Amino acid sequence: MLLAAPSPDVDERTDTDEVVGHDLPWDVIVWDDPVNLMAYVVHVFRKVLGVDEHVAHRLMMEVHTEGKSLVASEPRETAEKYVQQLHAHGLQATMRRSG
Amino acid sequence: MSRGDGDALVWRLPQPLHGLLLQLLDELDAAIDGPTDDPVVQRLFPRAVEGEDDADAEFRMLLAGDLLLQRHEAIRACRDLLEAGRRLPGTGSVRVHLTDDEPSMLLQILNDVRLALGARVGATAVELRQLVEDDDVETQRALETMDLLAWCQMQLLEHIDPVSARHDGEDL
Repeated sequence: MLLAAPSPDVDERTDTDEVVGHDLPWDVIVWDDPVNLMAYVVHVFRKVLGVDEHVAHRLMMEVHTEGKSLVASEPRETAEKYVQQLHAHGLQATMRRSG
Repeated sequence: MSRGDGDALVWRLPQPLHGLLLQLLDELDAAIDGPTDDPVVQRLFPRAVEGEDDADAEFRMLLAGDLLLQRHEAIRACRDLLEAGRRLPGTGSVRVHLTDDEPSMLLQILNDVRLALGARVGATAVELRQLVEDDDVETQRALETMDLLAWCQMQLLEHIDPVSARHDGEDL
């Protein structure tokens, strides 16, 4: 068993009713990861962010050399969509308020 | 890997690799239901919002459940694809047909398996090249499996997105 977890407990997600404002732009940041393949990250940037090869490669290299890259600055809903899709593809992405 | 009829991709896998992929998919399916402090779960369902715990909790409440469900469905779909593969008598190989979005789905899930293996051996905190020096047998086995999966991923990517595949180098 290569992936067996030490404990089989059920996942418990945090729950809250608090809502955060939707007006300010949000930055989407992708963080360095020692496992994802460079070519795969270029592919994901092209697919999720819709950028061309040149931009995708530049962003990937920025993640690789600087440890992170600001890949988008968008309204909250769009930023959430990007983060969700980047997570679905296995990239470590976070969002934060711009500025 | 080659083009079959129409847009189908034909992936000819050695039987041991075929069996290993099925085993890893089962293990991933179980691992993503682990506790929230498990390194695999933390890696595949990472924090989403910086500096705002409430906003991060809201994001998880709204979207993380969907992501978990999507992963389970994709794992099962990939398993079905591999199980539908035909054994080629006398060759020791299995021929798997991939159509439409199936190569992309498989690429994504194989990446999840690599990430999960990496998380299990601590590759979230240190570079892989540091782990290569580790004498632990399980760590070395995991790293070898990750290399094998990387090869599989590149085989798929070269057909799905040859432009991106040109940037093949190392791990990030």
